[in-house]
Amino acid sequence: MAKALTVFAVDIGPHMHMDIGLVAEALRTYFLSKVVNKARDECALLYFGANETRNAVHEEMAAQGSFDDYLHIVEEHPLKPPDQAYLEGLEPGQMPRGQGRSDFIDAVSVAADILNKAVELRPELEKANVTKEIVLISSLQERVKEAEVHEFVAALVESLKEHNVQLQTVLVDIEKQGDDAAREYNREILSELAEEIRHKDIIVQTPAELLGVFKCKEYSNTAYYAGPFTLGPNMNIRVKVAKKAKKEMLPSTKLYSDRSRASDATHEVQREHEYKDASDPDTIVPPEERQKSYKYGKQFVPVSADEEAFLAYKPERGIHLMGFMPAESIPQYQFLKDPWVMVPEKNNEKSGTALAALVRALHNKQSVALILFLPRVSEKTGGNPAVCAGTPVLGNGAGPDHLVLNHLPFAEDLRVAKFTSFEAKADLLPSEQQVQCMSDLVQSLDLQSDTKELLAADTTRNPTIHRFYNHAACQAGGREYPLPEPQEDVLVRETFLPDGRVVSGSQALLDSLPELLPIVYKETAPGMADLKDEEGGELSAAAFTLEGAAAPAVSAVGTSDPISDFNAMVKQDNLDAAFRSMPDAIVTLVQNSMGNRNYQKALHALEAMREAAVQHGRGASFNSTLEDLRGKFESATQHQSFWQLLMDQQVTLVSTEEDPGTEVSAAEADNFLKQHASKGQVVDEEPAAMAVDEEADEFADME
Amino acid sequence: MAELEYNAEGIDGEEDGQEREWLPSRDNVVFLIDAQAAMFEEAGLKDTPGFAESDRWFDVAVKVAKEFIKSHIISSDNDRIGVVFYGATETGNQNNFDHVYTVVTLDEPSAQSIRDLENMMGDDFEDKVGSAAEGSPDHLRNGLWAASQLINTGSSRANKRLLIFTRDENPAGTGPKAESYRERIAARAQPLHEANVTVEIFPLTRPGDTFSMTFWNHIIHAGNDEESGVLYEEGSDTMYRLQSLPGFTRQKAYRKRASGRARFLFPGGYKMAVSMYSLVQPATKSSPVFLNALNNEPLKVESAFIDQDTGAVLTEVPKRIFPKFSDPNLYKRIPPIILTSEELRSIRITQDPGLSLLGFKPASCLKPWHTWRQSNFVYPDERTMPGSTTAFIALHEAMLSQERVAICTYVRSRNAEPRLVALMAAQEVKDEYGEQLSPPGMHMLHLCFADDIRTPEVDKNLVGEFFPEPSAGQVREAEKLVEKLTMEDSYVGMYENPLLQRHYQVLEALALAETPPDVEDSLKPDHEWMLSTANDELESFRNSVYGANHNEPGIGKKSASTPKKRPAPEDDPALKDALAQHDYKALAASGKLGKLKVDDLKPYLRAHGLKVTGKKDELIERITEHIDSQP
Repeated sequence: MAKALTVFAVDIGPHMHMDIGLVAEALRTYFLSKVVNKARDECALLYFGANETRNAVHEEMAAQGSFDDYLHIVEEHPLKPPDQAYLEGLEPGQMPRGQGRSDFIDAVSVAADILNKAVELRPELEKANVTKEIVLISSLQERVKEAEVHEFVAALVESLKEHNVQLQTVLVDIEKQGDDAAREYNREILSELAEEIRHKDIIVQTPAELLGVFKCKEYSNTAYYAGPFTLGPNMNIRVKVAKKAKKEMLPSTKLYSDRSRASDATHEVQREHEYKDASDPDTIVPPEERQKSYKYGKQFVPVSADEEAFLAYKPERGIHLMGFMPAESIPQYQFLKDPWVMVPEKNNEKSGTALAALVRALHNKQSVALILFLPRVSEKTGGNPAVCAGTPVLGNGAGPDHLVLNHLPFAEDLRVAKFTSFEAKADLLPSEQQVQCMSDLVQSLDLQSDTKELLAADTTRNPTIHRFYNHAACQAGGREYPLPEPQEDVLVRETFLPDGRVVSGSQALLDSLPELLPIVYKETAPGMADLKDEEGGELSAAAFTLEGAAAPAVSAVGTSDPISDFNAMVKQDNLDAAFRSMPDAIVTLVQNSMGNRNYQKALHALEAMREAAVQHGRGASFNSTLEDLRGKFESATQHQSFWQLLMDQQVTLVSTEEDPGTEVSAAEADNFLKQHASKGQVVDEEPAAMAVDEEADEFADME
Repeated sequence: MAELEYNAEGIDGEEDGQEREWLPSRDNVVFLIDAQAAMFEEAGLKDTPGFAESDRWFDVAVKVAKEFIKSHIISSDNDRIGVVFYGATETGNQNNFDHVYTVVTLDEPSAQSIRDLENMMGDDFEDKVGSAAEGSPDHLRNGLWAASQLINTGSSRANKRLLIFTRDENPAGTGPKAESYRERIAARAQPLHEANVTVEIFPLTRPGDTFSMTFWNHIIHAGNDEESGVLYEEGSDTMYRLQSLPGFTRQKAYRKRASGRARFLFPGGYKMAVSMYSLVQPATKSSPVFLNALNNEPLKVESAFIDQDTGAVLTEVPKRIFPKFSDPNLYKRIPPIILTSEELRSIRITQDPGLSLLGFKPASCLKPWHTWRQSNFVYPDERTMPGSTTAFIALHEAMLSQERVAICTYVRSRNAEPRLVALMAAQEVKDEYGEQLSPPGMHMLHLCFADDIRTPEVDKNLVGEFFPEPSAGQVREAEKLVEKLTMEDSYVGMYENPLLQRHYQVLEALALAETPPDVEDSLKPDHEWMLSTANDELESFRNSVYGANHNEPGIGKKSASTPKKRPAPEDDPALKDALAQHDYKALAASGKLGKLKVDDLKPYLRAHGLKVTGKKDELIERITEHIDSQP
């Protein structure tokens, strides 16, 4: 089975101190992702430029009487599958900063030695499907010792080649400092080293680039289809097709319940489905009384297993040329779904030549191939046909010339709609000056400077996934690290917010826009509800965790048994905290409620609070809570029926009759119920029916 | 709405970050088809797909209605469609308006409505309904009346469309009473306008013939486009031509339904309002629904989270444990962490929905592998923020002329993760008749992150390390082939999806208790065309690469490979251990294999050389079969 061995040689010397926090973050997310996604892969971690010296090569040399070699290199973790210890040493602030001096060639030698020894010890690692790699992370500012360096590098290259070791260098170039000459010299030596082995060089110039240097998950590139690509009835090219891109999701998590406090609790949660008769919701219909059906218009058509087979589309699998089209006739916005890549069969000279000739011809003619794509057909469920545009991509030596395949819409996928021509909006057309201003902006707000393209898809990491791994990696040691606010999260900021350096050049243009192209901002325009700022209170309420109840001394009201918590606190005479945290608990209960499951609990909690409020003269506190709840739920899209429930249950304000401390008369309290109860019932049948439609529609296009 | 429904699925969907688009509201569509004598002339349509040359105009109209219903079943089956004839002999409608015959009453489409329409074509019509003996302005008047009754049944929030198919330029006639007839007819159209019904006229005329809209412009509703707040000019958007018939029947939603509105924010705070539309939406076959076998009523599915320790039904969104390992030993390497839904939410960075501009780059920076889903269409939303249109058009022009795209952060909804998108300006394209082929605006392309992109084309395990160079001659032969086989048309939904066509044709037959038809597969490479246009080029290209007597093998002639040796359990201690864990035979005999986890089932399959893929039910079935087949 394929497997990867990676030795990290990480510079922690004085020149790296500024960026060590970023390096630690990149490494801990990498190691965690290895455990989660590639549990068999092994990693070693070497620090160089460290204060101390602790590595096998030094020890061997010392045993031979030479004590001054391979100094300040520390083997932090030997080659093995990474575990908790790797992450703990890389938690924020934990990664060491060294004052030692050691050059990167020495570090790479020690790294190579680790790989060599591993292969000697476990010959099965010699196999070609075991990837061996050294990753060097350094700013390359510590000048390499010059004595016999070329001979040394040559010997190192030989040793790396022997075991087919790849080298990846991450050159940290964020702060320009130190000795340029030394860096230049080091780069020369580095290219001498890398030249003859498989290597990849990455230069990182921004913190975001450093954080995103490793992918969150590596995929092995397996062929989804291997077989002929037919060009007419008489010619085949043998090809393989693999995924080129697929939206990477957040890592998967498992449901967890802390309901049971037993020491041997599994904490597992299962999702169970019940099929109920629509007219009689109390009857559960057993499997043998369930009939599978498909919707056809308004009808549900019962379909037996035999008929089901007949529904499936079962052509022969294969990939066929349908014709060619000028590239500009298929704009990219017509592409659907994930792209694929079509490469020639490995080591097949004829197919390789044929596909390369075709790709170059398409490239020269600025054309794309129209391809019928039916890679797999299952005996039972049939195949999922697609028509794809095959765009030619030249390999340029790094790979074969190939086609990228993008799904195109079928007739059924198109929704034709007509939009008014801009020319028809004579009174809304911009003036020349207005267009000029936008033109200048389009030019100056430039993401492609002379040197590099900013936010290029091929190199921009997904900040959300990185954030997830980083957060989880930080918690591995059991210490709590608060999640950084989004605007303090480097990757989030540099990816999703405008880059100050880009914007600064366009500031004057941006400032002139409101005057030159005035726009009336109607805050409460209908239909813009989704743009309105949600009530600010939500987050603080959400931050209220459900763990409170487990704590022995009750210091806040939890959600698992709010009434007991509340009463306990009242008993402890901790009235302030009790009345402060109860509303939070109620809101949390309601907001986390699936459907109406928590409503009764929240209602009872609120009633208990009201009772205590009357007893302890805290009516005002209750009244403001009730008003808050009204603000949150009375006309909310979710949990509106909770408010209804309160009104149905006649939960009203505490009046002066009950607690003289309030400023609400008995009549006002009565009125409160009338006023808000009636308002809630305005919801008539019609919109409710619509809402169901919307729901159905929302799910309609899910596969 | 889903308020009271306890649905664990929905929550999971949100957690998984599933992308959903939603289309609000439904359409009520009524076809009002003239059944007077002029409709029964032969239309003489040649080369119009779906129509026979002998079809009469009336048949054409009915076929259009039928195809319309069929396409709606596939793509938006909660729209409601009705079909009404006016000027018929028979009277058959709820309100007994004379000479009006409702053949399909306004409802969600069904197989029966398709069959009913089919039974109205050709001579059957004469037998069952018939054309009114005399033409009269009252026919249309009654027709409009009946249609407005029909179209206003049911949900008031639906988009309402009335499509009139006729050959009559001037139903009011030219006699002395013409003006009063016109007024009487227009009076019937009035309630339609008041109910916000869009009235569209489909004049059935041959290409080149003229059709005066003088009369009909009084009937057409000069509609107000709700979405963009733009007024239609009379007649401009509501007249169809015969040429657009095929396109018309495929049209899913005439009314532009915005799938969302967003604020488009520039650095520094300047903002405009835009609406988003889904002009492309991969259609999928309907997912199965379980019925109660006793009464064929759909069952309600409820799902619940069950705590496995206590058996209790959880009432709150459960917490999450990360990582999710199938091998519990891995928890020794990394202890799991527990995440509350609040934590997950703050990890996922919730931001205000909308588009935020980050900058511009050349359109050539976008590569074909940079998008992962269908694009959306963006059009200015003048109503929400007046001034947006002017600013949008200025930006549109600037981006078009510089061939640059805008890169933005896009947050679809409050719970959605932010993603990067590219806005690509597109020019309006019209056909020779002035019909809009593609609208003016911007396409929003959903961009990949580096984490989404894979690089199989440089993976030596997949492609090897040797890449043959074609000769200049070979490339030239390929170029000739490309030239010859270049298709003329532009690709706009050129093909129908045979998977959907088959699914729905078979369902239609089953719904009517008929034998499912053999569905012809139209999605095939057109070898006949290829050979007739480029036989020589195909052959020279093949010969230039392969030589005269060689071809690469096709499917089924797999290159010989040694069959994989299955490990005998005794050679594989891990497998042996796993097998010893369970008594498969006993479990199978008592029907309890289902109690095992998939991972426990697989060793058995592996040890006996059976396929290990598929759903759990399939695995169990396979094991049971195997055990049964053993002596």
